[in-house]
Formats: sequence, structure tokens, C-alpha cells
Amino acid sequence: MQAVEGIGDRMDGSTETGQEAGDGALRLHPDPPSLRGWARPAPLSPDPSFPPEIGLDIEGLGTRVLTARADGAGGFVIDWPLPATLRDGVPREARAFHLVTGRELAGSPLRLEAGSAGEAPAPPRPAAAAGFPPLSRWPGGLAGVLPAAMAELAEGLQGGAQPPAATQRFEMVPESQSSGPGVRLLLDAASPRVSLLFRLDEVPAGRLVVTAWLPEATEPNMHAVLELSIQAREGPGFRPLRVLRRARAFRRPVEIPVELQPSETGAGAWLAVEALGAKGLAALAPRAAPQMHASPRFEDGRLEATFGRAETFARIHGAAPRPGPAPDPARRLPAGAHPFTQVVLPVHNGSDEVRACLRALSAAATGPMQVVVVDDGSRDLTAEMLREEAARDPRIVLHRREMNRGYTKSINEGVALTGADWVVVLNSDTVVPRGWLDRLHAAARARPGAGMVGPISNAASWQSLPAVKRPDGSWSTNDAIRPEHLDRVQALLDAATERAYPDFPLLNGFCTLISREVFDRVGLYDEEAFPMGYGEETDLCLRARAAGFRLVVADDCFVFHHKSVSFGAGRTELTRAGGLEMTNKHPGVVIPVLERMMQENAVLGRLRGRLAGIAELLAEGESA
Amino acid sequence: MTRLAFVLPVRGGAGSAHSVVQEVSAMRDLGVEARILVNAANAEGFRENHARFDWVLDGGVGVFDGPQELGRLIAGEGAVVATTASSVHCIARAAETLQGPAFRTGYCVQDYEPLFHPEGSMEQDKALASFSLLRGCTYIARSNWLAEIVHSAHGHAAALVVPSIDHGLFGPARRAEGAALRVVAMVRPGTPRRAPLRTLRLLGRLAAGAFGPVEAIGFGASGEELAALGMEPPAGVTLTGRLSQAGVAGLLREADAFLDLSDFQAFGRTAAEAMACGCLPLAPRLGGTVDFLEDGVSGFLADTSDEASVDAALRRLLSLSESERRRMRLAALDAVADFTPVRAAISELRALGLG
Repeated sequence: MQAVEGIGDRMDGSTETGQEAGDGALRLHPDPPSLRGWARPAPLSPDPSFPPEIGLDIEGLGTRVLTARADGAGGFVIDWPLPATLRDGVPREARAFHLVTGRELAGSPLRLEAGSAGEAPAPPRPAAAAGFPPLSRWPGGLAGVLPAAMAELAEGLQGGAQPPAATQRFEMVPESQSSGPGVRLLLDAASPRVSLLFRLDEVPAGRLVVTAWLPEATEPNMHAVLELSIQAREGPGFRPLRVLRRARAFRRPVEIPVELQPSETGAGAWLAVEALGAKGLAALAPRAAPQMHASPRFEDGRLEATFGRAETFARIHGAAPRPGPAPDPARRLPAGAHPFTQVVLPVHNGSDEVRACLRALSAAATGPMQVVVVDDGSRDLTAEMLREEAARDPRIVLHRREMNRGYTKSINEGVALTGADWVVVLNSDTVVPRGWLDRLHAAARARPGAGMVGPISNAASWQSLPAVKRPDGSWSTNDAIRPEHLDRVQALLDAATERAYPDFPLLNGFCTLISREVFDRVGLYDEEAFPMGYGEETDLCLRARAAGFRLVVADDCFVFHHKSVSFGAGRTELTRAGGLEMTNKHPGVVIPVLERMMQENAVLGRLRGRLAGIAELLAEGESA
Repeated sequence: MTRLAFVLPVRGGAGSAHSVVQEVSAMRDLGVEARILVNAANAEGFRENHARFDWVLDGGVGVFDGPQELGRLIAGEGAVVATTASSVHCIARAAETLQGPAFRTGYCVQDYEPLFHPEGSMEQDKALASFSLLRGCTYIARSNWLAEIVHSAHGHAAALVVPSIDHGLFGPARRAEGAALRVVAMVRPGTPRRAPLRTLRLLGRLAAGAFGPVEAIGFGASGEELAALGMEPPAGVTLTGRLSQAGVAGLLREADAFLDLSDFQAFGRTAAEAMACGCLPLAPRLGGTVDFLEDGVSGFLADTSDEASVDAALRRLLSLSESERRRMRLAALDAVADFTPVRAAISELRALGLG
């Protein structure tokens, strides 16, 4: 970011300058990376104690609204920690302006760059990369396909695999705040030995940590023997000098400490990371081992963290927090009460249902909202229809990709385009009723700490009613409920609901209201593990629960779900692959236990009981 | 006849292995065809360590090398019980080699192993995965603390079973009148959670007279072993080195107090064995020892991370009058008297639905 001279910065207690007469000022602070500054209320505001709002247009990422807070001395300050999505190393320009006056704040435009701030010293590069080749020159590009024989992937990095693997696909893993660069190697067939070699030219002897993992789940809780050795370059190949240690690689990255002797580093020495019997291997450049911190509580300094991890698991599996008193069911929700909400709608073909979904979204709105349609390379008439719909309603924004990149990349791209504090990720084969956002937000307000909210539906696994499963054990789609019944079903639900807003351990991903804070704290959907969906929402739910967010069911909101029109091919295989990734990514999480918690939920059990005869009621309504 | 196999891929000799062996022995006496399956690399050591049980050398121990062999061994069992996190993985892999295995599975959780390894390490991931690998598994725990941590972290309702002590080995003995107070402590230099440094510091202060005239003895490591690991053997402390199970029993029988200053104890087997010998324990409050040790009645509990808490408990212990000590010894003996292998075996069989 540019350093802005002479900007008043009340957070720092410095005095203001000639720009004092402006609407406010912002600057980037380095540690922790955050935007700080001040803002004035709107000049004609009827209530000068009402906090001013600042719009932040971030290059490529849309607009975010920052609300200032009172500083206790009659002014308003802004202190906004940069979310993880803005600390990805991509330089971006941002413009800050007062939402009422529209005037740009002093200090704008800001340059958000690589997690650093203006002229402030950049955060230290991870010890990881220090001394290692920068891996900045990739002769074959950042990703590519090569014969499986040993080949140079980047400067100081070699990769290869023994037959029967014939080809290797390599993908660079970019350097991040917490780790050095690395590489992911995927093979066309399992190999008895998959090798990655890092040159050790400038590496000091001592304790190092190697991070390695298996890049694709092919079985539950899979693991492979990992061999770490020192090797010397000999002609086109390598000669092993010493096996440092044997370990195991899993789907989830693990850190393996090794100790290098002084004679084992320097010119000609390479560190080999090899998986025995695997269909790929990924590893980050070795880094210096972190110091073990003494624990004030335990002699075993690891126990603070390990007990902490056990607590994380307890948050995932634990019985839901006791709900507070339910709000008055008779309370009317004021129209337009909900905050600005952006709806991310990934679309891949399916013209008629998508049109119906968009029309319903337009008609159902009772407050500020915007629909971000991510057209993931639709091939049929869908693309043309989407353009028509976007032209019809200015609240519908179209974002098209010419190539189908998969469901999870689509929703991530959509989320990255939003800036509102609340986002709904919605399947395009849904139909929403009028006031649906009011109801979802009411549930979020009723449960402090709620990070995600899901509605009731006809086809949403444990959020379904009246039936959850069919007699054969498959998920019910409750076919007696049709889209044209939506208003009637919502009215019946209004009469039957307790508005208890129960906590759930997981939410069905067909329609989820998600707080921006969730994405900022736990990251976006995992598009590497779940590129085609089938697990991405469960994974996000688990990460949100582990981070302490509550997942809430809005038991007074019904959203119709056709179920699976888009991204629907090869479901069995995708479901299996997603299940394997889930098992590997969350070892120790017991999904059947979470299912049992949802199955045993008394609130939804009573609701299903009250609406058990909904098919007959709907049929009566039709005949009348 | 009910067939039951415990998969125990360890060399044996440690307390938890002894516990499984004596319970399998009791099950066999009860008419159950129970046996132990050991991996080939540990088989010889296991037989040596547990040779005093005839059945160990006479068909009661099966040996496997890899999942295929384990699969063949367990195919005809009524139930297969894991005893460590790694044994869960062994069973899961072996079950994959079988078509529709008919046996039920159990996991006798002897400690919460994810606590043993660095956060985020591969070993911890394997230990965590051990709670999600076996579908329909029955989880068994020997303390409420263990059952609660398994339930809260993984959602499994673990059945609480009776622990067992080999009362033939661990029993009270008449102490010589007027002998100096003798305090023994377990020193495990290779296991940080057992707090070897904290233990050595306290033994050193005991030997230096900070708590009055006391004889201080450490078992589990010799002075040479400590020095090799960079730990200073404290002056005046007798270090016995590693002891056999019978050696530990003999030492506890002749001691007045046993110190376990571990960061936590999932169950606290050695404290229970000390109580069975009439030796008063001072054990960590964090963990499962609270199930059988009532503070101030049958021994003492302390917040082991707080030196003042440990000192206070130790002063109370060492300042007991003869009559108070006798009363507390009786309470300690009484508290663990029911921890018999037969009761433990019955409770496990019932938990597994075989009782």
C-alpha cells in the first residue's frame, strides 16, 4: 500500500491535518494486517450517533461495507483485520469511499499487497524457504504433464516415478504466509516409488521439517510409507547416501522432522521425499524446525496443543449448545429488516429450472439483496436465458466462465465476487418463497454465534420434511410437494413451526446463509479435495464448527429443491470420491455420530410429526 | 464356544499389556476361547515378557505378519478387540481382505493416544483416525475421564469397564516397625507427559531433606540412562533402573508413598497397584485416577503442574500419624480390592455383548 503522508489517524492518536475536513481516512497497518482509520457520520444524518459506513471497492473482489464504531469520544473509528482472502499474496488496489456522501476517503486508493502494508516491513518470509532455491523458475510452466521419468520441475526441484506410472502431472503449490513453495505430483497409475528431490545447496545443517501429503484420496484413511533420504547427483540420476527416516504420508499434510549433519548439506546434496506405493505425492520445500515452546501448564510442551485439538473435536461432535429461549412465534418480521445479502448461484445448464429460480429470487426479495450468477460454461440455451434474466432485473449480476471448471470452483469464484457480510450459496434448482431472507436472518439473529443457517426443504437430507428417507434408505425428495405448492407449504410451516432454530452439526449445501466471518476465519470451500462438490459443504461445516461457529436450521423457512439438475453426472463415483476425501481430510470425525445428532433432533422431529399429513393437505387444496 | 481375539501389536511388559494379558487369562478361565494376536516383529518379546501364563506358550497367542495373515486369523472370531490405535488400523486393513466379516469389533481404549503425539503430526492423525475406522465398534474405557474424552471428541458412548490388578503380585506386606519413611516415584525419561524432570526435582528435594527425613527412590530409569538423555540424576536419590512387574510390586510393598507427577493419567495403573500394596499414592488430579482415589481418604491428588499443590499434598501425606496412615492404607486397599481380572473380564464380555 502507498504510505499516505499527513493523514489523520485517530487510532494511532496522531493529530489530523488539512484533510480533517474530509469524510474520513484509512491506511493499512502491518501487524496484524488491518485497515485502520476514522470516518464521520453523514452531514445530514438525523442521528449523528449512527455509525457511518464505508464502501471498499477491492480490485477483482467487489465491494465490502465496513461499519465504523464509536470510539467513546464522540468520533468513529474503523479497524478491519484483512481477511485471509486478501492475504493471498495478490496485489490489489482498493478504493474507500463514504457510503452516504460518496466521497473518497483520504488515503484512498490503497494498495493491498502480499499481506504487507505500505512501507512497513514485510512479514518475515517463512523460515521454510530460507536457504532453499526460490523455485521461481518453472521450465515447464506452473503445471504440466511430463513422462514419469525423473525430470526437472523447477530450479532445484526434481520429480519422477517408477513404472507402471507413465506420465506425471505436476502442479506448483504457491508459497504462503506460513509455508514455503511446493509441488503436487499426480500419476496416471500407482507407482512403487514416487520421488520429489529438493536441492540443499545453501541449507544449513540442523533440524528441518518436511511437509508432505498424498494429493488424491483413493481409499479410506489411506497412507503410504514415506522415505526421506539424502541423495547425491550422479549423472542424470541420484545416488542415495543415507536414509534419514521412514514415516507415513496421509491425505492431510503432515510435518516430518529430520536432522541433517553438516556433511550432508551443500553443493550436490539433495533431500529426497519418496512415497512407496502411491498414486502421487505432494511436498513443500523443507524448512527449519520451529522451536518447541515450553508450556506453563504441562511438562510435555505438546499437550497444550493436543488437548486443544481434542477440544476442537469436541466442538464438532459435541452435543449442540443449549438453545436460548425461542423468540415469540407470533412476532412479525419487519419487511426489509435483513442486512444486504448476496446470493451466489452457480449454474451449469438446466434452463427452465434456473429461470424459475431467478424469477423466484426477484419476486421473493423483501430487502437489499443481489444475485451473483456464476455461469460455469453452460452449453445450451442457459447462457442466453441468463443474459435475458440479468437484463430484466438489475439485482442479478452475471459472471460467466466459458469452460466448466466444476461446482466448487464456481461457488468459490462467486463468493470471492461478493463483499456483503452475509452470503447465501444457493443451488440453481431451488425455488425460494417471499421473505425467505428475513427468515434466514431471523434465525441467525436468534442464535448468537451463528455462522451458517439452512432452511427446511422437501429434499435436503436431514432438513427435509415430511420424510427424511425413503423406505429403501435413500434420501427422500418428498415428491408430493411441488414448486407450485411453495406458498401453501410455507403457510403450513408458519402454522406448525416452533421457531426454535435448532443447532445442527452439518447443513445441507443446497441453500446456506453464511456469515462473511466464516470465510474469513476458515477459508473458502475446498476446491482441491472436492472439485465437483459432493462433500464441500460438509467440509466447510466441519471447519466452521471446529472454529466455534454455530450451524442453525431456520425451522420456519421452506425452500423448494428439485435436487440435482446441475453437476449431476457420475454421482455414485463422485459421492465415493467425496467420501474418501472427507475421511482423509478429517481423521477422527465420525460422520455417523453427526448424522445421529440430526436424526435425534427433537424440534425437527416434532415439526415432521405436525406436517406428516402435508401431502393430503396439499391435495385437498388442489381439489378445492 | 465364544471366540474372542485381542489384537495387541506390542512387545509387552508394560502395564497396559499386562492388563490385557491377565484379563484374557481370566476370560479363558471363564470358558471363553480368548486369545491375543501379536505382530511377528514383537512376538518373541511378547512371549518372553508374559511367559508366566501357560496359555501364552500353548496356543493362546497368534502371530501375524501383515493384513492378509491377520485377516485369516480373525475370520472365524466372534469378536475382535483393538487395544491400541495402531491395532485399530491393523484390524481395519485385515477386514478389507475379508468378504463380509461376521465378527463384531471393539476397541479397548487404554489411553487417549491423540494426546501422545505433536499436534497435526502423522502419528496424531493415525491416532485420531482410530476412532472413525471401525464401523459399529464397541468402545471400552477403564475410567470416566477416558470415556468422556472419547465421547466428547468423537461422539462414541464408551462402556465403562472394571480395571484389573494382578492381586497375586500387588498385595500388602508387613512393614518393619520404626523404619524411615520411604517414597518411591516412577521416572520415565523418554515420556515427557510422565514429567520426568518434575519428578527428579521433587525426588532431589526429598533426598535433600526438604520434607524431613525420607528415603527417596526412583524406578524406571538408571542414572546412566538419565545422564545419556541430558538429565541430572539428583544427589541422594536411589535409582533402581527399569524393573520387572514383580520388581515394581516388591518396591511398592516396601514403600510408604508413591509419587506419580505425570501431566495427566488416563487411568493411573501404577497408583492403583501401589494402593493394592498398601502404599499411599500422590497422583495427578487431571485424568482418571479420581475414579478410585479419594483425595485425603485413600491417597492424595494434586494439580501436578502446580509445585505448591504437589508440595502441600506431599506434606500432608508425610505428616500423617501412624493411626492416620493405617486408616488411609486400609481405605486404599479397599478402594482397589475389587479390581480383579475376573470382574474385569466379565465387564468386558458384557460390554461386547458376549456376557
